[in-house]
Amino acid sequence: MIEVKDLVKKYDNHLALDHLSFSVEENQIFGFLGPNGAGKSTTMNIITGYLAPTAGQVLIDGHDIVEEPIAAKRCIGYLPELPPVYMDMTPYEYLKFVGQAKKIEKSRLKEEIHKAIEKTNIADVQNRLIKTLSKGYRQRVGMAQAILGDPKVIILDEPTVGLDPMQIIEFRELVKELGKEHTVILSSHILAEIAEICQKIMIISKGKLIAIDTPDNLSHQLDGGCLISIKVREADSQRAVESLQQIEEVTEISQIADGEAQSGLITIEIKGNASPQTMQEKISVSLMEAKCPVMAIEEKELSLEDIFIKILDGQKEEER
Amino acid sequence: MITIYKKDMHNYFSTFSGYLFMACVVLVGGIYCYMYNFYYGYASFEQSINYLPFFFVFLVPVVSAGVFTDEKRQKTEQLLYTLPLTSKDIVLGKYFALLTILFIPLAILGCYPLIMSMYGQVNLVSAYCNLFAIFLLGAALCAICMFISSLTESIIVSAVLCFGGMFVLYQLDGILENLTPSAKNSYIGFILLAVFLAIFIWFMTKNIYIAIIPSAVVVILLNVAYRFSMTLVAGKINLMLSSIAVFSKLNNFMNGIFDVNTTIYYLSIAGLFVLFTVYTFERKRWN
Repeated sequence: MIEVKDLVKKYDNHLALDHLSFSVEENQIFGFLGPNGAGKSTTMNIITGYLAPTAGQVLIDGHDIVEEPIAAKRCIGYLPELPPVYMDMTPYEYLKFVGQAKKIEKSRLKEEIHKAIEKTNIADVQNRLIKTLSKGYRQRVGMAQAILGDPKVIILDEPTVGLDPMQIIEFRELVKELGKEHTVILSSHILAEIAEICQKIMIISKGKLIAIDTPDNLSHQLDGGCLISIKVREADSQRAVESLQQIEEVTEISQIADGEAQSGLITIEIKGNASPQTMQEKISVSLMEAKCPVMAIEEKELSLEDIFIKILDGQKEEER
Repeated sequence: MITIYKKDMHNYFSTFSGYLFMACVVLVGGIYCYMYNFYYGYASFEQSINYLPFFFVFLVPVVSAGVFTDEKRQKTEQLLYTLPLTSKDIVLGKYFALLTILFIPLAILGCYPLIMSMYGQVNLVSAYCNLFAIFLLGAALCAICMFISSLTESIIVSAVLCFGGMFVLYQLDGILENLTPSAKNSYIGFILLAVFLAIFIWFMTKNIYIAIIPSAVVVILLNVAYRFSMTLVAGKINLMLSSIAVFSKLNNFMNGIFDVNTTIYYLSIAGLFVLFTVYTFERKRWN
């Protein structure tokens, strides 16, 4: 459906995209993952025809975005990072404008607008001026604009930023629903958010492709890596560290004196190369033997940086 | 194109700027018409709308300075770029919306000669020729302001530049009168123009070589001509400036003459700046 070949984007002297290539299949939910400034938005802007690439090619349903922009853009619905809405219009007027610009037939336009309003749940605000709507509603209006007219490809740039938890859940359901009949690309800098709904994930950093795989395969790559955080009494910390060092799987121990100093507790972070469950078992048993009470124990999510480092390390080892 | 036209028309009628422009044009036209034609009883309508161009200096920026900067401010520019529309469609749609906003108050003023003719002899041909010329002038000014708004990010910068540009164009007549057509004046004037040209081209292309080379050629030719024959250079800057003095061209329409040259002149200016705008809009993609 989408074919990206050797994409390069240069801003003056800064290389934003460095020979990026990937392809997205039909009816697939595809996730872009990367820290801020990795080139996610730039990539999306090029795919949608907002920016022109310095080099490389983008094919959408066989249409080159630079050579045949109109044909390619007709396949795309795009929600940029900030919803591009006109403040002095009502959602209905706005959708009508977008529908006309997308060249939806007059006879179908009303029905299509109605469908988009229904799906994004904005029926009760459709006749209010957009400038009076909250951020969450504006985001939904932007979403309605993107899915209007059933484009084959729907591209969403950080769509959950600024939404409350209920809205995020609603939004996930909507994307899953859309993914059945559309190709959806969405970006995020949060792994958990993407892992749940995407069938394929691409990780980029500094404009370079780091990994592209299914969420399962990616988490296998990350296997043997977990971060456990425990809380013990400050008085016990020395003993706790000593006993933790006895555990084979532990690779790194760091103490953090946090803001709870008055409570007399101290946080210890333990990195290990076993599964989180095994690690938690071993830690609690070892601390029990050392007669060192554990006040709290939890598994911490790996940050994106940790994931990048892990994947890059893994790749280097494979090369050897 | 029609989609963008409709959207912009909606915008003019849902915000202050469109109404303000139309109301002011009708008000100014109405006041002068009342004074000259109804109070003092002159039969010449063209005399009373002759003051409108001066007010265009302030009023045209009101509607046209925000044409593109407003899209940038609301981040809707990204939407325009990614909808299946060409740059030409977008710019023309916006320009025709501007022309409509310009046309409506002039059409209202256009009723006055008919009302006057019910009470006496009015030269209708002359009146409508002048009204038409003022519309053409407004169309040219709108194109210039629209182009300026496509260059900048901020509406304030755009408004100041539009107003400044209009003011300089309006003052060109006065400058020309005080400028003796000597070789020295021409020399200095052309050097300034060459510098201005270089800055302008650099702004458009962001390429230092393309910007400097034409200006350098102009300066070299100018120096050669200045050494070779002073009389060749003398007065040329006056000629040059009078060719861009858009406001004074209006005088050709006085006395009921339909001046084809001026019509083509205004249409070319409008066309040229619309073309520039399409180019700037398209170029942003490649930066």
